[in-house]
Amino acid sequence: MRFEETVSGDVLVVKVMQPRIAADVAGDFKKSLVEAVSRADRAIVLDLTGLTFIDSMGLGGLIAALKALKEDGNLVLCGVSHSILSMFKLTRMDKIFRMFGTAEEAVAALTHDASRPA
Amino acid sequence: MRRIHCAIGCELAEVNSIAAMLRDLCASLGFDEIDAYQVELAACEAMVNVIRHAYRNEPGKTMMVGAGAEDGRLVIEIEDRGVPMPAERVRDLKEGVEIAEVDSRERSSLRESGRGLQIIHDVMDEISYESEGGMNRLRMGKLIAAARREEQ
Repeated sequence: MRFEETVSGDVLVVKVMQPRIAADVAGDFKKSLVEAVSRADRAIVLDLTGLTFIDSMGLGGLIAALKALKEDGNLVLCGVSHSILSMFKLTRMDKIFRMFGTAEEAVAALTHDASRPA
Repeated sequence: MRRIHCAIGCELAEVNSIAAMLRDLCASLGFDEIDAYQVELAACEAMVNVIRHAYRNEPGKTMMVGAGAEDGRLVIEIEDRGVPMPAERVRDLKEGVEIAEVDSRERSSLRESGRGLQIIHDVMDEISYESEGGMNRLRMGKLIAAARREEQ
């Protein structure tokens, strides 16, 4: 599974390069994503701009990544299309994942979060 | 009117080719982007369920998929000769499952799977499932937009 990773300040942006995450690749997606999240020592933006389809098994990979975060870790999404957002709403996962329009907005929000006193 | 009727081998990757045909069919029937996505999603969940649960990932099996417009509805039928869906799962499929409120702070308790039937239930307007003579048949209907406007 191909991801494009860029570091922006204290935030790691992981862009999903595969347009379709369905059952045939969901296992690979989950494994690769959990590895990327587990080794990250900073907040993560998962950029889904190029994603056109994801099914419930792909969603399971996103949930696994969220669960793989360190205790104080942070993972947010950006670039979620209207169609894919509708799937998050169907499954109530829109209440779990914080979402932003663009990677820049997500990075700005996470940077702002980190600068606030605990 | 376009119709899809084909048999596919039960490989997960083959689900994608049927999904592409369904996407085109939805577009030709005037479904908007979100409805078309959700119909494709529901059909994929149903086909993957056949492979994983009815056939338990056993290679060399086939399922029949048919789809087309019928009485103002897009109707999708999926037939297999695997293990029938248990009665409680059929109930979940037809009646839905109450989804508990989820707390984003309790991420360790989130389920990573088990949402397919709920998605099918929530997306499709009509669902029937029958198992007879070794054949399982799932039939799902979705109102085409023009027909839906008339019903409202």
